[in-house]
Amino acid sequence: MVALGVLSAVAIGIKSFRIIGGASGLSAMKGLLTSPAVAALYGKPYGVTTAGGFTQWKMGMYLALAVTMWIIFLATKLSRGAEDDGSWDLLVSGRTTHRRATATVAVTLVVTSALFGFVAAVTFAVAGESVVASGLYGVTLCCLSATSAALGLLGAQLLAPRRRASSYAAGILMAMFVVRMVADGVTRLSFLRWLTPFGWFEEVRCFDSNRWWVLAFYVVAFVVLTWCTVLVVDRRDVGEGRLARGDVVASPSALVGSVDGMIWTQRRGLAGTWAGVVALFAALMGLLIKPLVDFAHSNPSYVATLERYGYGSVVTSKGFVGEMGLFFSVAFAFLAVTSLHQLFADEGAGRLDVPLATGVSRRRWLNSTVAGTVGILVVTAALSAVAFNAGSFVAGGDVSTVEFFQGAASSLVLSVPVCGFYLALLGWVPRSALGVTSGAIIVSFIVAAFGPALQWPQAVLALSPLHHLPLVPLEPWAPWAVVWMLGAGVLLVIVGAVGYERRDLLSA
Amino acid sequence: MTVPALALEHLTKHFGSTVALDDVSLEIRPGEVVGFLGPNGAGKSTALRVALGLLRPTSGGVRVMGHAAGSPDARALLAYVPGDVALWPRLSGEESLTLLEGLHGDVDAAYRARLIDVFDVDVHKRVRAYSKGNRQKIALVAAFASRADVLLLDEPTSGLDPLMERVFRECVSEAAARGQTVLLSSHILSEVEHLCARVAMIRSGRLVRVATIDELREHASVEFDIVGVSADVSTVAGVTRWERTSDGVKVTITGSPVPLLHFLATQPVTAVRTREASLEEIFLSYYDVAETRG
Repeated sequence: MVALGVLSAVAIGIKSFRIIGGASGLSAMKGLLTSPAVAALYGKPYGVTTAGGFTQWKMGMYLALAVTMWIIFLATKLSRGAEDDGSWDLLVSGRTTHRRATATVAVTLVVTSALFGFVAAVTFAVAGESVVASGLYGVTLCCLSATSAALGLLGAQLLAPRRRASSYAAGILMAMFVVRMVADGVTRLSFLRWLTPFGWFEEVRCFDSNRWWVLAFYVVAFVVLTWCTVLVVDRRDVGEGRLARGDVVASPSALVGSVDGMIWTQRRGLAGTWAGVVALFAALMGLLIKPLVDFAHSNPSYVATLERYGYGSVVTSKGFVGEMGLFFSVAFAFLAVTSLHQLFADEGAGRLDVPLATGVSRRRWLNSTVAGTVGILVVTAALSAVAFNAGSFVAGGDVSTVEFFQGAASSLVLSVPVCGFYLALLGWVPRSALGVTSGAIIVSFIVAAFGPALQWPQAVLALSPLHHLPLVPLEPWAPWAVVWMLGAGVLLVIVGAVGYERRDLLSA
Repeated sequence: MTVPALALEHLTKHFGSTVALDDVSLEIRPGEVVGFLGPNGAGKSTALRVALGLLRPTSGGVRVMGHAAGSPDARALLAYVPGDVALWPRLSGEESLTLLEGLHGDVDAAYRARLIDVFDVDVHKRVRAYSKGNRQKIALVAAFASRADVLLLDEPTSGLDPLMERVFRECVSEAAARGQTVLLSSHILSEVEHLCARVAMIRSGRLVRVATIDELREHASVEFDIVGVSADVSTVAGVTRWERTSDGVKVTITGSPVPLLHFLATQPVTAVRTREASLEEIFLSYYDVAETRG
């Protein structure tokens, strides 16, 4: 699945390069590419006059972020997750040692990383890029993924349970990404690029000067992290993290005495993390509005290129806010699914058995889950509007506070049918709910984000709900689209609720 | 007529092509403590989960004090302890109790405090730091402290040490004395024998016997060690098994011992020792018979 994502991202990048007219088309964007704000977003542009270099610049950083996050979650799932559910108790009580079991996971992760690199390299090579540069890109992606996997594996040794290990490892990785953004955005801090694996990812300069020696940073980081993992594995108990946990609660929460309080208690960590990340992203986007619009106004050919491929609206402040709404819509949709999915996780683990058998009804628990999710979404959207506005204000942008809130509200619309879709699946085919809904969100995003530039048929574009949402605040609300999505969402929620009440509860 | 505390009415449950429960009917009177026995996979937990409203019956149904299983009235009357208690790992034991009690609505706070004390559980620790036995204790405290009319206990002592098992037996006895109804599914047959007046046996989704312990014993086999006899006793009515020993014969009979006693009157008997079957042996005899039939 992820390998397919890698292939798609690379293929879309190469296709985009050809559509904008290759190196000659890029000449109109020269100033933009060197803008610090854009560099903070996408990274430094090396070798962008080739399809490979352009793809690496346009897609590479976010592809890298997606791959590294995924491999961290895989690393903690295979190691800490297996310890949490007790399956390693059996494994390591036999002939397999704890160290050997961990080593097997490490090898699996490295092989998976190699697969990602191989897919990326072959895609570039098949598209006609230099075999050497394609190979270097593949090796670099593999090294970045393997280093992240080592970070995840070390986190799994230090912390328990899996959620805690994943959160810390993913948090460190996100911090590394932000360091890279700062290094690329602020010239005098460019040295910081050498402190982060995402900075090394740029400094290899694939499809440009092909600096193989930069890979040594990954090798050193991987070896150090793996060595630390080995040290910790030998010094801890199976099932426990090396770092002590606070297992005593001095002042118990009274909130948990009600369904709504319990739903909130369970999700406050999730809500805080998502709100923080989304607000940070919104603030950065706010800082970018003015430089991007100013640049566009001074480069008519750049504006013409964007208009030719359906992105003309980005050259205005309101248009930029509207276009960013696409990303916020997807983020809110995933936040909604993550919050709702806690219900499935609790049910599958058997935690709902006693509460639902002797306390409240399934409908009550479901209603509170939906209400809690809506609350988290609204607060996160409001925070994103405030942060977006603050960033824009600092940079001297001209979008009003009300317009930022309108944009955030518009971005919430997608979450309604997504919630409905997830709940309908949860009610009738619960085990497929997460995978199918996540897949649908990703496909909707790809169609809406890349479809116009790749000149996909209107019938295909129409399949994405995002395609039907206007660029608020640049464009006015489309009442029928909103009503249609809200109606479909509510209907699906009802269908899901009926199924959830009628079906057997999953057992642990 | 008294409304049964728990009534399984022609209960049938299919999972795809697997028949987990097949036309099971069982009534438990208010205040009764009934043991629910059966080998693994017999359908005990499935029957309990249907009674709790967690599973939907394929046909038939369950009523709790006359209320349909899963209804708000039925939930308010029930307490439940599963065999493997799953709680939220980040909550403390006390928070877990607050949650379960808050959702159920009723709790005897003084009794709860005593239960925490006698079960010897540190409620300030997070659930993730608990052993299986301690998680079990939290669920037991919540169930008993709710003073629910009907307690459904599905292997509730798995994970408890013998001392705590004794505390559990005392709690069930107290609940019974208060008039609470208990359906106890357990593999610890001594526990069932000690606590339950009646036993329901289930195998392959079908109820094979419902009887009091005494009724079971009446029809169970009894073992005789007879000293001084060497004759062939296989032709005596009721004898199901016999073997010669160094000083006599060992005979197992089912049903009335009168034919055997008549026969022994004609023999040079010097001593007779008898041993009644334990519930475990009775259970195994039903299991073996059913296995042979199957």
